[in-house]
Amino acid sequence: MNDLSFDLIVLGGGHAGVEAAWIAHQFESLRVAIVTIPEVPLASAPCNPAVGGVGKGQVVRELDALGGLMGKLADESGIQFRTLNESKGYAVQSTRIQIDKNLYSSRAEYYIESSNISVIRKRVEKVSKTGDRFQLIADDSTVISCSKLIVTTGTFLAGQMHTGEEVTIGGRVECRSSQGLDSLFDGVSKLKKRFKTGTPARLTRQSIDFSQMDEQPSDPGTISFHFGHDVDYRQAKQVSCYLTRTNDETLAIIRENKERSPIFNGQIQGVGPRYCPSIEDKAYRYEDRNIHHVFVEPEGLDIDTFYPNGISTSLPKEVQLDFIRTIKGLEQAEIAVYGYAVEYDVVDTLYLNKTMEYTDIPGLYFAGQVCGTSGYEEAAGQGYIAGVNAALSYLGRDSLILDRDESYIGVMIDDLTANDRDEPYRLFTARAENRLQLREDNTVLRMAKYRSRLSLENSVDYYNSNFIEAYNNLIDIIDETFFKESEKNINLLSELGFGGIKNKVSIAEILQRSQNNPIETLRVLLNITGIKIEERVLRAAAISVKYRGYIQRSDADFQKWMKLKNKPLSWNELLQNKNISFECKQRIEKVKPENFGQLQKIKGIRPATLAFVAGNI
Amino acid sequence: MNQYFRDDPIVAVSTSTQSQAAIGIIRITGFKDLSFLKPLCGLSEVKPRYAHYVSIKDSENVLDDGVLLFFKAPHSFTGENVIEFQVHGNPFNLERIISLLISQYGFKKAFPGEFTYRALRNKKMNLTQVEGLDLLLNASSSFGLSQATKIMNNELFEEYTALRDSYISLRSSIELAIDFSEDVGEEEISKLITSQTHHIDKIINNLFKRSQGDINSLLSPKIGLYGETNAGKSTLFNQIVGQDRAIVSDIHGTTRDFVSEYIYIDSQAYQLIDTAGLRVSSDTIEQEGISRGKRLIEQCFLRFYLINIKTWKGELPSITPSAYILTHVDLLNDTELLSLKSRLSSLEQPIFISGPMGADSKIGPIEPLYNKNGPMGAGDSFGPMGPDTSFKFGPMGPLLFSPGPMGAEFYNELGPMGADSLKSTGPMGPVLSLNTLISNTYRSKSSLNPIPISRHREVITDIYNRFTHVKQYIFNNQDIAIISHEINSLGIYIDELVGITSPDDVLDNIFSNFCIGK
Repeated sequence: MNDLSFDLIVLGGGHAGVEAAWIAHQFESLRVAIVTIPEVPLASAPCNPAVGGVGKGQVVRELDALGGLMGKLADESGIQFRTLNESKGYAVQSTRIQIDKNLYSSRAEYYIESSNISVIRKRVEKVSKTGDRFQLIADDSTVISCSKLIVTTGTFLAGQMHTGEEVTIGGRVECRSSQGLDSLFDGVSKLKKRFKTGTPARLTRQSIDFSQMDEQPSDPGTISFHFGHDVDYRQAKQVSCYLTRTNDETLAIIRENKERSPIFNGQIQGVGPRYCPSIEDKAYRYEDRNIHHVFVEPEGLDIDTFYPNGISTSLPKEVQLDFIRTIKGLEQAEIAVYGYAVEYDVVDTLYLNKTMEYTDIPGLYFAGQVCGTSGYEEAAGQGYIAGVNAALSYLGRDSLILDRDESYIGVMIDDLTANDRDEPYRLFTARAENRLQLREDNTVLRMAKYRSRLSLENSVDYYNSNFIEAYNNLIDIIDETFFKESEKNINLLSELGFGGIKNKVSIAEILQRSQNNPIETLRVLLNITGIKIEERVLRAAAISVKYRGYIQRSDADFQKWMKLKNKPLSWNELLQNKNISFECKQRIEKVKPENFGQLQKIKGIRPATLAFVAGNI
Repeated sequence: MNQYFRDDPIVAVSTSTQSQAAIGIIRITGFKDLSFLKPLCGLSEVKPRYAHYVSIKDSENVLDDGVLLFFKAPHSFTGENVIEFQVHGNPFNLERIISLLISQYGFKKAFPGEFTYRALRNKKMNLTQVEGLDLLLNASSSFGLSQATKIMNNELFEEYTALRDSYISLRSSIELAIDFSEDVGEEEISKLITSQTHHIDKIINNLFKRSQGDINSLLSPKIGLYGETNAGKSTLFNQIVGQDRAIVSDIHGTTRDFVSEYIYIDSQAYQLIDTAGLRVSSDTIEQEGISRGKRLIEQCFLRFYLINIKTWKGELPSITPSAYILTHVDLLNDTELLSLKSRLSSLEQPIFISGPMGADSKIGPIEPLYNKNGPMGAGDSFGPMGPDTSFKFGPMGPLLFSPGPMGAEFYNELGPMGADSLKSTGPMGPVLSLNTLISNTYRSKSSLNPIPISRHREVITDIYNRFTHVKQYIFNNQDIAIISHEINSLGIYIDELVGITSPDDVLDNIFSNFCIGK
């Protein structure tokens, strides 16, 4: 076979891989390829059929403003839209879209195929590096070479699936596994502990009694992800999700079969995510709780199966059927695909730098679940960072690193590369120190400067600069438009319920009044003045003004703390210091903290050590 | 602070160098091996925690004989090797030995607090314990000493850790509400947040109460005597301390500065202060004395305003006293005594009456305060005083007069005041002596278990104020992003209290209080 040669290859066609290739191909001179196994479509969704979520919605929007693909795909295949935490405050509101899995993959295939990205559907058996170039040898002996290699192989490295006592090799159902990290990449350090993840059984549509469940219809008010789509853009037909609950009987069955659960009988050694526990975890850990939410989500408009979110399991098949049928509405449920757990190898991300490049092997990047993260959005975010930096590095340009105070992607990359890992990583808003700023509404304001560093000229670049101009103009209007204390104005504002006027009041002050919903208030006030503003700009301005006071105040609060947190330190010197215990040194050596904040995050660092270092840096 | 970041062996005198004490202790730490002991004091082998009798030599010259104690790392105060030399306490002797260690054996003079700092950095103590040690070394009251011991035993630290634990629970619940409300369910989360808010609220309130109030009065309690010139402050002062300490004369303004003396009541030391009279004077030196006196009086936890009843025109002090003491009452005749009634009826504070000692006086003497068990005079037989025995009703010695109903009644029924007539007053005893008033006041203040370290008190006040704010947000169901934000900044202060993320200036402050060698 012919030798195939590229500048940049992405090994793996999942969410990380697609995003990596997509940003890399925007640098037009680059020859980019995705190498992926033949039996799976690009950007497939092997677990829950949804994109977004708390914190994750922010990542999707960040990607969109950076020129990523995920938001576009999610919008175009979205069949149920929701705004999570809608009642809890703007900074924690996030978008989640249920997707039609098939539609999502086919849209991804469409965009990749219509670009200049080559897609090579082969199973890679061996990877080696000669000089500056990587050679990938496929199972049909094809040799594919490249300068920059981004590995996004998900759970496929030495993947092992468990359903009860059955153990099969592979990263997901009906797909063969890749070789382990050791044999594919000599010298790449992986975590000692394998990670584990799981997925529930899929249920057939006609076997579910939806009338017994709470219906959750699609929210027409949720703002679509992609900047180029109208805010209420809905391309696919909208359907509902359904909520039901487990009960005493369900949990009793699971507890009776504890010994047959691979997670608890020792068959699985890997560490599962605490934040996304299997139903076995819930049953055995929380003995006093029997009621757990189960969201029954459609996997697609024309797909016959539903995803029961909340009951992921690796119990034997007959037990799965038994416990599922105790749940209200699922009494007659038929299982199309049984649930299983996957154990897989994870790259030790402490060996990656903030561009996701493996420190000891220049040109080699990792992204996605192979780095021990969970979630399509986390994968896509890393894929983007690996892809853009591999491309920039190939072109000899400065790397692009997002600050953790300005983006969830930055938070994630920083967490991954600076912390010792002992369980799969998922983004929460709680991981961000600067949560009031890391909102969905102001994503363009946060991301535009990073995107512009790429010096690309795509539609997103025009959109970003227009957005910022419109935003700045609107903020000027909000700050500088006053309602004078006239009878007419007083009546107007009081009719609208926006409060009174003393002397004069600016739009900004009205928006900040606690009883006013800033978005609706601004919309009404702008209507009165006859100004037309794009909805996304309007939201960003209204919410920014609303939070402005808090952010300024908290800035002062945090200065003291940030001062210490950002203090650089030399981990090398700490290792030489005889006052730090051996265990602490081991941890410090592993993590190599560069500032006090990172040192603080290391697990097992004693308060005394922190106080000592704080007093000495 | 960076001055502490060194590993050199250090030396300092650990005992007082102010006087020629019999024994002085020189302490050294941070040395790697013990080979210097051979030339220094002829020891080739040293047994840890064993008293070695040694001669300290400068080459062949014996400087001093003493006892050497070796504490092997990490089982020592600093966590490093420590040796204590117990030698003769003459400061020149100590200085000579230290110079030898510095010039011949590479020791460096310790910075203030450096021994303790090494204990901290070697994790032999936590920050709170260091602060406790500071308190222990500087305490001048039994309250201070016992609080310091508690802190050294980590009791306070454990309370702070409990606060931090409950804080972390609340914070987790709020994060749960943001990131996992779908999984857990709104109702459950809101129950959780409410109960955790109440829990931490209790802890913070308790700490806040304990961080309020006057701590100085407990750490070094002062009792002040003030009043018009020639009211008899110095006389009373002398009577109380039992010696002619203050200058006493009939010329107004004799006591220009203040005089103080320690008195002991129930084995607690109090500083008794006699101030300059608050007389308006053209004498600038005296005016200085007067305003100094005012400042001093304000710092006193108990202050007694003396009134010369013979010359009193009814004016009252600008600083409210804890009690009034009427002097020269023996110079009044019965009619004059009676007319006092109306003049005193407006006073809310307890009133003591002082007259010259002597058997023939109508009014008995104030008993010397240090002599608690001394003769009490006629007051011995006073009847019960009613449920409230706090200082408000705390008349002393043989004399007492409390305004309000009791006082009025007493006048109405008894006519002229006098020791004998008081005997039959009815519901008034047992008389609280001035001593008892002082002791009780002190005890009631310390029973609030106040937190004695001012850094903690400040941080706790910050925590309380912030939490009060956050609590409102939580109960009013405000934007949870803002609640969480406020909760996070609360955490900065809680960490500071525990000493985890203490900014370096906190450490600086603490260590600046230490003397060399501690």
